Parts: sequence; structure tokens; C-alpha cells
Amino acid sequence: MRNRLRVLRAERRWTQEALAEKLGVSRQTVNSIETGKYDPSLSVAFGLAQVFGCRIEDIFTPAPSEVLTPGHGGGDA
Amino acid sequence: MADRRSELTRTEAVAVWAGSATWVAGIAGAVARTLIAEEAEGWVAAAVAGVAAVGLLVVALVVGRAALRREGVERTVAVESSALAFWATVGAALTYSIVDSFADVPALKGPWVLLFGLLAWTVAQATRQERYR
Repeated sequence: MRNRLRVLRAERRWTQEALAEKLGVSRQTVNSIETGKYDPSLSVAFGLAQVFGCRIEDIFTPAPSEVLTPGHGGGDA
Repeated sequence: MADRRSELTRTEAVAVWAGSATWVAGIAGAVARTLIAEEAEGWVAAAVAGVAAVGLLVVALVVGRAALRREGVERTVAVESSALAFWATVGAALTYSIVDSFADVPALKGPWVLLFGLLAWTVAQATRQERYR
């Protein structure tokens, strides 16, 4: 999963610590999300969307290999 | 700053203290009983062990529930390392038991399993933490 977290945070001049505090998570969690090593839970993703005032899709985008294609586990679409 | 959701509520803190006290009381009871009588009666030993186990179980349940309430990398690390350590310990104990059934090896003892489990959990915790660093 790719994300724009570092950019969004930098635009607001927030430190990882400050963002972590707003989300109620640890600084390590914010750092791991930014470096793409950790995919957050829906709860944290919604929290991020809320603090940045945007949609989850504006923050996270699936990597090309993660995009589901119809007929290959794409659900009931 | 620590995640506020990971902190124990007042009731949970009381439960942890009560559970810890119960465990200590159980262990103290076992030691006292051993000092008083060289060999404790079966039902006394079982009762003392039961009291200590209940105390420890309460602590484990309350702390575990608080840990799972926490969001973020720490929760994932805790869940993954616990699962890995559990299956490593079960697998090792099962393998040793199978070997023990046909080979002349020292009998499997509880403290060995406990020690292996703690070691496996420590290693799993460190490796999973490194994975998300």
C-alpha cells in the first residue's frame, strides 16, 4: 500500500509525534505507516482521514500488484 | 506520548492488583504448606495451585484485553509474536514428545516448556518489531 502521509504531514508542519498524539497511536506506528512497512487498521485510516480533512483514498492508494481485477477475487462487482 | 487507549481503566487496574495478590497468596500458601508439612495432601496442593492459577489468569485476561484495545504497530507485534511463540512452543513440545516415545531422552518437564515459550516469545517479539521498524 502506498500513502501520502509524509507529504500531508509535512504540508501541515506536524512532527510524527504530534500526528501520533492526534491519532492516539505511538510515533513508531506513524513512522511505520509512512515508510510503508505497516498498513494501518480501518480505525486508524479513518482517524488519518479525519485529521487531514480528506478521504482515505486521498491518503492511501494500492500498489499495482494489490489492485484487484474482476474475476480474480474482486468481490461481487 | 503513550497511546491513551492502551492504559488500564480503574476497574482493570484493581483487577490486575487483585489477581496479582491472589497469585502471590497462592504461591505463598504453597511455600508455607511445604514448610509446615513435608508433603502436602493432594487436595490442598490442588486448591493452592488453583487459587494461584486463577489469579494469574485474571491478570493475563485483563492485560491482554487492554493490549488488544490498543491500535497500531505495537498491537500487531504483540499478536503476531504471541501467535508465533505459541505455535513454536506447541510444535517443539509435540516433536519432543514424539521423540520421547521411542528414544531414550530425558522426560519432558514443565519448566522446560515454560522457558522455551518465554524464549520463543522474546525472539518473536524482537524479530517482528524489527520487521516494522
